Amino acid sequence: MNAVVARLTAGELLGRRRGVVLVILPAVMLLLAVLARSADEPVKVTILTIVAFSLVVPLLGLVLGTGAIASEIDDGSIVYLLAKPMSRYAIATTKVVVAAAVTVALAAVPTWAAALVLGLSTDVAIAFALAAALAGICYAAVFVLLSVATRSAVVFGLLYALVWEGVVGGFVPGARVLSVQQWALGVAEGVLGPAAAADIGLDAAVGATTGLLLMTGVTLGATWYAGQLLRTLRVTGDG
Amino acid sequence: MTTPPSAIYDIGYRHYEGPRLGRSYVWATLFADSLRGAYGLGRSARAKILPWLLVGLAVVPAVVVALITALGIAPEPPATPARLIINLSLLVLVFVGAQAPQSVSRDLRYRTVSLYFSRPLRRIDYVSSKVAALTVAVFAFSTLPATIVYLGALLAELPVRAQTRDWLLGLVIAAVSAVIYAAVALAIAAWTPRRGIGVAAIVTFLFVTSTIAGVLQQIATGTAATERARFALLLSPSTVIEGLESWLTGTATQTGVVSVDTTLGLGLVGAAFLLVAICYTVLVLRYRKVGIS
Amino acid sequence: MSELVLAGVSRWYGNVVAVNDVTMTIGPGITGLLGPNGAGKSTILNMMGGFLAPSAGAVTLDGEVVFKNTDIYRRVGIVPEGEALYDGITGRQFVMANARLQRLPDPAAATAKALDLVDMTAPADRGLATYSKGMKQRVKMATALVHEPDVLLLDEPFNGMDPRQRLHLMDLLRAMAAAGRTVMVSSHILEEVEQIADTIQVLIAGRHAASGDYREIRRLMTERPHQFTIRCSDPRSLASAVIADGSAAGVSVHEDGVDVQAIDVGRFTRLLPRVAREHGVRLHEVTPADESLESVFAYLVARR
Repeated sequence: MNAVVARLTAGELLGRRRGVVLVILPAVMLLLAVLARSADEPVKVTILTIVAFSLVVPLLGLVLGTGAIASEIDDGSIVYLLAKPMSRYAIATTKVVVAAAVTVALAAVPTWAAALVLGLSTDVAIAFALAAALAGICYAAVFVLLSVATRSAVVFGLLYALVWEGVVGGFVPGARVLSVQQWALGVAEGVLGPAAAADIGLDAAVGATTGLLLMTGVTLGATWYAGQLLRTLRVTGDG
Repeated sequence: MTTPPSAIYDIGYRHYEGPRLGRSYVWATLFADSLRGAYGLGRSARAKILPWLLVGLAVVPAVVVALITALGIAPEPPATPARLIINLSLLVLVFVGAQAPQSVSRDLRYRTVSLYFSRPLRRIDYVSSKVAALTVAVFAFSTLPATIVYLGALLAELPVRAQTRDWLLGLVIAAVSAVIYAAVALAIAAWTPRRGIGVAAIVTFLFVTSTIAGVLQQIATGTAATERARFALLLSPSTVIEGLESWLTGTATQTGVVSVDTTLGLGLVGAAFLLVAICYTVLVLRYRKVGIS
Repeated sequence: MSELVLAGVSRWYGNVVAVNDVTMTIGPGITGLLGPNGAGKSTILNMMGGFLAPSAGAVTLDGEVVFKNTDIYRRVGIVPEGEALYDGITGRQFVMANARLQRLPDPAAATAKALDLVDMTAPADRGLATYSKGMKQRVKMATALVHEPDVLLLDEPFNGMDPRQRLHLMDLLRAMAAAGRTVMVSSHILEEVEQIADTIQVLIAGRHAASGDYREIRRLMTERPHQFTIRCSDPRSLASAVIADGSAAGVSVHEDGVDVQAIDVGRFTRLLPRVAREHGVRLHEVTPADESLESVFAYLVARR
């Protein structure tokens, strides 16, 4: 973890134009929450689940995870970080931490707010916010790794975030186990307790412990592997 | 030493005064090139992976439906051609989101757009040929699964007239969705030279708008305020297409929420026209600003 | 005093050999890395920078392997070719960030010193996005100099610089070389390399074609006659004397001098003053006509 890299990355992620665009997704979520106040509770929960976990969290994770490193690799300015006596793992970790922090701020906090605006109980709000935070961190790590591994990270990331998480992860029973969305919701279920979860119709494909372990494992593994790949990254800008 | 006198030497260069193929030929060439590029033909091998992968993913459900019909497992096709296209809209969305930037981002990134405009190619020709090419590409993409389903129905020896009518409606929906998606996607993609950002922007826009429209429909049904639910259809390109399908086939929409009457139907048509017109204008304005550097 | 050594280095990608058995030692002073496009310069630079591993052979800095060795960056400064820099920060902040990443004890002082070296102190507090191409190049130089490295690797450093900035940079590089640093410049612009490089390394089609002082290389190119342009008082008698001797392959006579194509340069240079004195010819000017780096380079490239 390196403060200078963190500051540079944060500057890239939150710079003027990009910052404005990033705020749109949580704003939309809050707007929908306001409009949905009059709906029945099961409908509210479904809406929040869909909007937060199939849309806002994965998309923000994608935009921030790729934004943290992809353009630097693409235009070659990553050489300024690589040509320093600094461990590649430190670079990868810092990038993931910054991307994750911004994702938590822009996805988890608004999810909590949206849940409250919808009129759901504070327990539910906290559970969902926690789940969104964990999912956001996991997505950030995965997309940082994807950006280091391939130049077409955004396209593949989108396919994953939307097609897999949105459709397959939601409907195909076997595949649900492999979806970050379900892991996060499993944690939410665990936090709420089985009774309250059943009350709001929350039924994740995995239990809380499994979900937490999987997310932690994937996050740490992705960060480590990104550092690995950075050690042999060809800096095409140099020559 | 005296310097030799200056002269211009005849090295056999001849000025061409004969007939030239005109604007329409240039347009047709650009159209053909863009259309082929949408399927990765005439590009590197990597560019072929995604479009053909999506074609494969689109064909699989169509084949499944066709088999179910043909083998007589169900008395009626589980999905009409038109409805199948709506169900596959996520794949169409990804296809157009990935291939629109393929068409325009390269020219912007490497600044070759100015080369195009220094030939007898008007800006409006560039725009119209790109839009037409992507529209045809998306149309073909949607038509394939629709036709497979139709063939399955024919094999099952279901009444030909009714099935052909369904198929033709499917083609209409394919055409409508192609026109709308291509226009929207290109209008967004033309603003950035970076392909990745273009893809993200298009897919995000289409997905977010359709999710919002879907959510609003859900909300409205919950409170029996079905009036509002109906108009939520106007809010996103995907739902506009969905609504038009529902109107033309006379069935309820995919989510079973709304049945579209004439007023809403005409409203949807108007929305579609407006959307395409706006996108087209945006594109023309964008390419008016393109210069040499 | 640092030495970068490539020992039998090769790099291939599947069936394509980008660098073919290159052995060279880059020592203190300014070394120019020359080669046509596709010759493998960028591959070599990536390997020297520790970003790419050789498929065979070893790249070492003072005995330490450079690949996957982040410690070398304390002693190596790299000035990349690409123009891309971070947006939204000033030049000073950018150099400062680099100084901090180098773990320097006093980043602010080092930053000020580096900016002063490249003559960017005045515009240092403007945003990077507002800089011209030449200013960006100088900021990049500053980031590579801020930790006072022993070794400097520069990729096309004169890109986008106006003549005044170019002269300034050449002076800077000469000063570094005089202080005992190892400077390696990869460039296509032969006139500039000619003016600053003590040694050149020529890479053609992945192979190491020549190394050393370019004038020496010229002398080694015995297959090609050396051209001399001599202005003198009596061209005809000088011409006949030179031809009679046999160290020249051809002589052409002009109104005020002769052009000689000498095969045996050593012998010719001893011959010329003797013959001139014997025949009473006054020599006004003797110029080797093709001792430029350009001609050396062209010969090497054409020869392969």
